[in-house]
Amino acid sequence: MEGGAKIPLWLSELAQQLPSLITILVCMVLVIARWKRHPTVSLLAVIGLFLLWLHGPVFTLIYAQGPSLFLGNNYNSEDIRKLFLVLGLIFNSTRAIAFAPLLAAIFIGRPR
Amino acid sequence: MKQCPKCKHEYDDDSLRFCLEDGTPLARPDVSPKSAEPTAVLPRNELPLTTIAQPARPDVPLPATVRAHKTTNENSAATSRSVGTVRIVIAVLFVISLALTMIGWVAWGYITFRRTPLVLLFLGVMVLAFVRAPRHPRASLLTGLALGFDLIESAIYIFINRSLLQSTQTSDAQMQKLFTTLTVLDDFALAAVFILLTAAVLTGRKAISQTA
Repeated sequence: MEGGAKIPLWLSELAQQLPSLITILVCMVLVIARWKRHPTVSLLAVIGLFLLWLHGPVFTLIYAQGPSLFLGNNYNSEDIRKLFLVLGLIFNSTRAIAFAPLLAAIFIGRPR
Repeated sequence: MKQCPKCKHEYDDDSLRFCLEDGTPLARPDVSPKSAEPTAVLPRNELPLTTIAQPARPDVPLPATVRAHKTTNENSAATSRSVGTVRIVIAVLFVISLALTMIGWVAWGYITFRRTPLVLLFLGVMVLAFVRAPRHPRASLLTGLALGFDLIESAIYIFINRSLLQSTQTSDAQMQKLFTTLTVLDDFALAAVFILLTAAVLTGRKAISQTA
């Protein structure tokens, strides 16, 4: 019941990410349109953009469900602080991993 | 070897077309169909050949040659100027980002500490963009702008967020609206970063057949 009540919260937070989610989709279309010209670069860029596209909604869900999912019903503010510190570190580490292929695509395959 | 048919003066310089003594067009004494070399095809960027209207003189450069050298030098100077500008922009953004990150670590502790993996990646790539600026200035500039903008924007976002949390004069409903607005603005900034990075991926690219 509690999980079901958090779905609107998750959806409203997801709606706040719509600008970046739509932009990523448009960028993916642009990169795929150039696939024949430079397939390796496009592949890396699409992988990076897709990971970034997944990253937002997945972590919004984890943040919304986090306290009840990881701490159960009995938790205090210190537990919450620690949980969000760990979640924040995981959030930023996975985002760095998602950015890596996109950033690599910028520099590879360019003439010397 | 060329020879003047009139005064029989011989010249070792094959680029000469006319006799320096009497102005008569020079001829090759040893030219025969068997010894003639096949026509050479010069690359496109080769300097224009001399013509009868513009005889080559080793001591007097052709106007076209002067123009070509001047244009090459101007292009080279313009390129080095643009690389210099790109490097300055990236360096300034790098210093501001690093300073704001360090201020964030001191002022807000774990809030900014969580961003360490992403900050390190972005700062590292900004250094890479700085180093590779001479090879592809436009891609480096777009990358530096995107990553520097993201780091600075995130620091400002955290600063405003913390300030709002500490303010006591705002009601909960107002606070909720402010946070929502701030989050949406932050997301628009992230969208701008994606656009810049995608532009950096695609800019200055040639098709595989052209690069091979």
